[in-house]
Amino acid sequence: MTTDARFMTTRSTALCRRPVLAYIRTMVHTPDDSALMLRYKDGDVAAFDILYRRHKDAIYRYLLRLCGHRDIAEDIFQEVWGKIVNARKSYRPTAKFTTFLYRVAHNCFIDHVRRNKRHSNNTTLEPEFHSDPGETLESSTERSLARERLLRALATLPDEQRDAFLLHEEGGLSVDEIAITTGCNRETAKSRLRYAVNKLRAAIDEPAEKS
Amino acid sequence: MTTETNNSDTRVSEAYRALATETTPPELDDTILKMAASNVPTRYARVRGWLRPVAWAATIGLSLAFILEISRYQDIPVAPAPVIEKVEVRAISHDAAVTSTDEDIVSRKLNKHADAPAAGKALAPSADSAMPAAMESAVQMPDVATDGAGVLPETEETVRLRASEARPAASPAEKKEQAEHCDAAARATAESWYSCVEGLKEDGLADAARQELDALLNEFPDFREPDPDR
Repeated sequence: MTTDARFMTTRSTALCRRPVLAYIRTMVHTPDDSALMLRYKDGDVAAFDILYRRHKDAIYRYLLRLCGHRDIAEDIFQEVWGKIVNARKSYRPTAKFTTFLYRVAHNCFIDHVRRNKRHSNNTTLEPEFHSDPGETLESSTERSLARERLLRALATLPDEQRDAFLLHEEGGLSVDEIAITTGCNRETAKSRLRYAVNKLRAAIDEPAEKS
Repeated sequence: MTTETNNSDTRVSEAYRALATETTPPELDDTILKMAASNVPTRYARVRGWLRPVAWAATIGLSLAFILEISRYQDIPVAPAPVIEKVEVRAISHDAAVTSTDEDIVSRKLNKHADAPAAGKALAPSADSAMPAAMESAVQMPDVATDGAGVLPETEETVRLRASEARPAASPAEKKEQAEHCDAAARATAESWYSCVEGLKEDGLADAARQELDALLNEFPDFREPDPDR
């Protein structure tokens, strides 16, 4: 680090200790989800835009993996965000926003399953593989096969175990939050997650053991 | 957190991360963002929400105020219009132009008092309210008089007489006050009252004497004015 750079770092640190700049620093700091939702509650549409872009892909994949059908997943996805938008006025940050969001998504999926009793686990999804430019054909094929096996194993998991795994992977929820979201106790959520991970690991390791 | 990390195998997570690359379609994003924007009322919409109740409240308030004002004016009896008496200019020169100018000035002053919105003053114009007009006209008189050629300056008595004559039609209270040139002691008996009237005549207050004499005859109808020839 040069002398100028060290001076600038020291100076900026000293400035940021001042109250005004500390306030500015809090403004620059990325707002958390609850703060964004509260801003949206107050009429700030831009806050919702940030919130939506932060969570949209994870929620979409969560629903996509649960349903196995892209169209149905899109319908439920729209329904979920519609409920979030409508809950704007009554929103209170009592829990983590992610827990709130995934609970809404989980409930929407359960409602969809109840509405359509013909729900089947048959997935129509084709995995989107993106091979690395420097990857050899053999390793690329092996990777794609492993991913395909994982996807198939994920589709064959029981709904509750798949739900727990997806909430953990996509939503980043803890076991307690999974228990809250799915409406079961902590031990049940924990065992579901463990069973799901074990089955998926077995599916990934299976051909390697055979070879 | 360590328990959760143990539960979720790292390799499984990495494999799933590599698999999970799906993103939402852009049209779905647009739909949801539009829905979110439409759910939030704009500032104009908020103002518009208040506009109608405020307009109704203002209309009702103004109507009530108007009705109350109208009813207040209806309760007040209309005061009789003041009678403008012709001002006699007791100047040596009876210039017609000067007389008409005096009349105009006096009538303007009286009209100004008659148009005044104060209903209380219209009901019973006191001597204080009437006096300034008369005094103003009296003060203006010499100016007007000096305009005419060959007009002599007026005496103090002339000014006072004109002021009393230029006074608008007095109310009954004022008339009574004006009529009472003789005090209560003089009015006690017909004879003493008549002697007071005589005194007024001697002082040159013919009008006052006449008014007092009329009042005397009203009060004592059986009184007979002594014959001056005797």
